[in-house]
Amino acid sequence: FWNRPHMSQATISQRQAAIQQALNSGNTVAALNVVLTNPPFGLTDENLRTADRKAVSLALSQFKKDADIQNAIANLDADQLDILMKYIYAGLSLGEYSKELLNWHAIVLTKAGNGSIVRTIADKVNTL
Amino acid sequence: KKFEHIRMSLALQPYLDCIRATLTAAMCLQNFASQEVERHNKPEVEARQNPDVLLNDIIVSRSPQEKVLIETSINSVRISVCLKKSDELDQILTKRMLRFFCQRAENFVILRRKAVPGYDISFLVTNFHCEAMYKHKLVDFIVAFLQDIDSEISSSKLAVSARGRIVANEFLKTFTR
Repeated sequence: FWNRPHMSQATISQRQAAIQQALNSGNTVAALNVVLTNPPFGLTDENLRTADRKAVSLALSQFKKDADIQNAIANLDADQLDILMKYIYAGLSLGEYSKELLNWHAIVLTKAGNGSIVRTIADKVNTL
Repeated sequence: KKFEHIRMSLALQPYLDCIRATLTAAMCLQNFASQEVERHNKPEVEARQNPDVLLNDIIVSRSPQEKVLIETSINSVRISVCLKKSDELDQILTKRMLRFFCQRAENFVILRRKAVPGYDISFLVTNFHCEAMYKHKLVDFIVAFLQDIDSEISSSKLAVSARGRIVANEFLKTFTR
């Protein structure tokens, strides 16, 4: 856990490519799964971090209807919801796709509760 | 250019709801004596001496120019607001109005005298404020501020334009027959 190696440029690019591929075939749920599996916690390189956040914001912005979002998060467990909340705030800090991300925020908040926001603020090890 | 402004503006309510939820989560503050200086009690988000007691920063943005930065620590929260300023008149009015508030910061209690660099105005809420005042009311105050400041600045802008128009009219009347 403490000796987890930082993800390299190659892994981040792979993630971006996988997300892009899923979006190209119109499968937004698959893109969400890529986002939530093995996220690059604790990245220090700012460029990689921004690239990853941009890819994830793009993926999240492709969910057009509220019903789609609710179906997608219906089966997520608490850890995955935390990852999602961290990515939502990460995307909001970039400034793009604000409307879609604020929408996601409201829906994930109803499911995950205020605790997910507290963990986004307080978790300094698993930052996204 | 005028229509671009209308097209780009997002609904205010989701933005404010997100900020309200984030502030409610961030304002879980407790007393924490300074670890550097004996018998001192500093807001850790301002002192920034120990990385252990500082938490992650959160930026909630509505657009790249309009955002709120929320920095938390164990005993204090700093909330910095960057307002949307579409043109130069907006910039001047925002600066003047917020400077008016900042000069009277003692009366506002939670206002910071100078804004954090890069932002227009900052609030500093400490654990002592949370003990003396209701936390949900503090959050309400900040969200209400965000809601009303935009309309105040646009009404000032309208007033300036109206006054300018009247003055110009009166002045130019002397040149017509």
